[in-house]
Amino acid sequence: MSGIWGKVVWATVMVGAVLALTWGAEAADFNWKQAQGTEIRFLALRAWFTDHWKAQLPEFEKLTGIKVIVEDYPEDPFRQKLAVEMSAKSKAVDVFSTGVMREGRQFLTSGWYADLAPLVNDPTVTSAEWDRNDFIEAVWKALQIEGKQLAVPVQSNVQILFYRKDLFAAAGLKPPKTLEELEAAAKKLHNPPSVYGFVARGRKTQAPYTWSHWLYANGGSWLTPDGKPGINTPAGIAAAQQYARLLRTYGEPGVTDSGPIEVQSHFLQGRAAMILDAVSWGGIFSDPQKSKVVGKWEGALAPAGPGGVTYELWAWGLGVSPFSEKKKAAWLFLQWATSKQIQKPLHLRSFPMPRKSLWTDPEWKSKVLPEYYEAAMTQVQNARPIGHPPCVASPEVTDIVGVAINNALAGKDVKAEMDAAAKRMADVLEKTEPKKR
Amino acid sequence: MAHNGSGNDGEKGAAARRMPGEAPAAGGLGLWVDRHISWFFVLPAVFFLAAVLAFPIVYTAGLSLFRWSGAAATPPVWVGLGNFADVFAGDPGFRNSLFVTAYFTGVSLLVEVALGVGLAQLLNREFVGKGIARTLLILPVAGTPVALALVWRHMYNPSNGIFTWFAEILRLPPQRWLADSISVIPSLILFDVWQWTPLIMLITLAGLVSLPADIYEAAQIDGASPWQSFWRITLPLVRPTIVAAAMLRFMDSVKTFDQIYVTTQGGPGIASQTLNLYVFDQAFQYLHFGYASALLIVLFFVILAGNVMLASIRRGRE
Amino acid sequence: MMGSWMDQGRRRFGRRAFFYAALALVLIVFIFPFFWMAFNSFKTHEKILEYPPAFVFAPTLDNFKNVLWQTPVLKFTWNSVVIAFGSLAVGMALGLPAAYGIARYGHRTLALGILVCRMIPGISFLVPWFIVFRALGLLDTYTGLVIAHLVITVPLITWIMIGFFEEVPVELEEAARIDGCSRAGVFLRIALPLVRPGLVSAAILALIFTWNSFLFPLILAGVKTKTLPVVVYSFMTFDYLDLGGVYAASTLVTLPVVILVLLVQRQFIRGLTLGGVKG
Repeated sequence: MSGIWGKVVWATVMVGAVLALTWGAEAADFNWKQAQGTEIRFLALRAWFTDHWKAQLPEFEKLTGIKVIVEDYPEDPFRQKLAVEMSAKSKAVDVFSTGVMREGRQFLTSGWYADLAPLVNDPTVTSAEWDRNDFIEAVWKALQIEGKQLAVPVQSNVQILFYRKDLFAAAGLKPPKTLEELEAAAKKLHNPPSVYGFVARGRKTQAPYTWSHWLYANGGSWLTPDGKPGINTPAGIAAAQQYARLLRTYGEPGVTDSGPIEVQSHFLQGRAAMILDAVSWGGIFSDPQKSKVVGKWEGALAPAGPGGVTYELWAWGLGVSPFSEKKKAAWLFLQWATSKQIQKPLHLRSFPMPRKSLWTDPEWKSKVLPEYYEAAMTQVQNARPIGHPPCVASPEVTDIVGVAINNALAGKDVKAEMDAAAKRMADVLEKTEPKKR
Repeated sequence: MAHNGSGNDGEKGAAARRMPGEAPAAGGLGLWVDRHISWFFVLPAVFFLAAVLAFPIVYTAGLSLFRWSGAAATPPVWVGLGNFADVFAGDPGFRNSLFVTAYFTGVSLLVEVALGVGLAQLLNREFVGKGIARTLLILPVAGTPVALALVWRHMYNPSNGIFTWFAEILRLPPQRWLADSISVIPSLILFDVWQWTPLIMLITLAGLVSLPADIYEAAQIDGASPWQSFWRITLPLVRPTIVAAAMLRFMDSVKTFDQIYVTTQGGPGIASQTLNLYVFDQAFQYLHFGYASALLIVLFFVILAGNVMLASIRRGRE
Repeated sequence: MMGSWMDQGRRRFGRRAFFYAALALVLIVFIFPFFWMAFNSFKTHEKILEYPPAFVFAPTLDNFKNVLWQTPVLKFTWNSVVIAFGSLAVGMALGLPAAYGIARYGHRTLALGILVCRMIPGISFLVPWFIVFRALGLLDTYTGLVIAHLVITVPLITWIMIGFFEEVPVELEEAARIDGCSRAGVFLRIALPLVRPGLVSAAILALIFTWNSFLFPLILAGVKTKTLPVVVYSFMTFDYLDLGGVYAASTLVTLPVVILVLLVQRQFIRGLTLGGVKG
């Protein structure tokens, strides 16, 4: 008896040991130093995540022996510099920040992304620890077009409703669940110039992003199923009318010039009763050094409209240049920058990371406001990249729609503006979309 | 900053200025060098500029004949003069930008010249603190446009900018400054006038100072009022200087970039999108490099035409 | 009589008072934004956002500390200095002889050609230069940036100096030639010293334009050669603006040029005054 049991036990132990050794070996065997001695250049967007990576670079260098030169710029100069370098097929860029939702198709058509899928699926260059499956599906897929993995997400920003619970309580209001309630609440709380009812983006290049929430909440979409402009359908026009009316009546006077910075400032200064914007701002709003509304705000789900609700998603990502001659080193950097250890401190500061494990981390949950947590969790798991038109000339179409919204905000006739914009959009689509066979 | 102050003498004048009866340097080469020395002075600069500018000029001219979106994947597509046809035939963005440019440059130039000449006249006398005044007045020209634009942008903030506060205490109706499509260009003009009037003023002042004083005495004896003597005597004499300054300023004004880019980026909508900014968007936001090249050529000719017109003013009424 | 004498005195006093008042107003208008820029650098970001704007507050040096700590401002300043003075030096070397040649020997078409160079929009240079510079390894180098800025300084210097050289009396040069001086010698020893005021003006304008340029360094410079104006702009991330940092950085960028101008203002104005700009 003991003979057979002994053998079974021994066999189990042996199998266990072999398995343990193999797993352990896999984990320990990933060669971080396979591109040792290389130098790569990272053309980066100036942002909080870039600053975080810059601060941790010495660790990366110790781990891999790769030297990273980071060049960061604010958004517009960054885009221009990137455009110049990529159109000159510069080998000097290895890694770059990218917003696939906005420029993905444009860059893809231009051949400016290296497909990361083969790299992701190759265990010799991808450490198992990195755990591709830990990324939130919605976010990971959003950075894929036509089966190619264009970038790895470095954040997962959704737009939630931030509201002043102190003002709401004083007025006997509950956070709005529909766009109608939103407008009603804004009307009640609008008290210029100390408090504006609802503050949102209005600048030409920025407005379409927030406005897209209204578009989809009214049942509309950027493109109709047969690829035509969807912005001047009845749903689109309704959305534009609602948005314009809301901001003209209950917004702040400089709305046509406001982008994320202005919206954030107004809320920080206590001048906005509600905003619909980046969930990543939760951290700043609770920072006593910067915020005048600490303890006075909460988060809520972005309100639904007559056509339902779709939560939009924005995720900056890191891409690799197809002209780079150091793709392996670049890929190692990408992994490190999007790894759990690097992303965790950022997530704890309320910068939303695209990893499931971080979102469900109890440490984070305990640090943030409860309603905010609920809203953020719900939205991020169901978000779709509806913030930008899904076409090649996305920046141009965004501008066209932005101009129309701008004009609507200035009081011009909404239908006329959207019709004109749709016509120009159709022209642009005609010229730039790849022909379907 | 004109150089042909001596009027129309051109080549003849040059010949007259040439040294008579020079002894050529010894040796054949020396003789050749000596005879052509004038070219040796000029050529380094000319060669350099030609070398550095040749490729961009050819590149831009060439690219304007193609449709290309900077793509590595799709090669440029030949369209001949198609881009130019698009520009002139049906591009509302282009027409808007022409209007914006004409409005912005036209008005700011006029105001700068009027104010600059007026200020020059004001300062053209002895007074306590003259040096300090002139020094302080140069500062707007010396300041870094990007930095100043950021400051002005905040000063114009409708919610917390200091100009908004000024308007409030002066009981003016609340302005949205840069955020309103009607007031945005005047706001930008104000910024531009603030920054460049001192330059016109300084150049005009230089011209005024060099005028002989006795012409005024003669006018005063004749009983002319200060305004009359200014208008009838001073102004015509100093007009070439003013026009020269205006030409300089015109060129730079049409090419204004940093200030508008930082403050409004062409917005709200496209209300402040000058031709220069429009080209920039086409090239670097939408990546229509071929079309942008065509626009650049058009922009260049706009500047050239403007300068020719201004130069003819200087000559014209002589 | 007493009456009219006092009347005249009062009128003159009135006129003078008016003059000084107008002058003060003008000066305040032109200086105010600089004052506001420096003033706000000492406020915290939140204080800057306050409305009505705060005139009394507890000043802080944090903004300056942030700027100096966060970004290698000294390195960028050095870059700006090298590029500005480099373009100035080479610009002088190319532009002064050219101006002299045009002033003395005609070549009006060349002069116009140089002026035309100033009319070409800067954007047209960006992509072609990027391609060429990359091929020649000139990206992110001082050499490359100096070459780029020469396109600004050479036409500027040439155009300004032509007028000054025309003012140099021909007789002086003739006398030197008769004494056996070569043409180059005449240029170096007679003409140049006489146009020194003009030189100073041209140099200062060239320095100002190069120091303040933003677009060229943005595209053609990199980590090693980034200049100050680009740095100012980088106090804006895509969703957070550190106004305190922006103001402090703006002040730091503008300060050197302002100081320079203040130091040499007498020569600068003398130069413009002494006639190179006559019509």
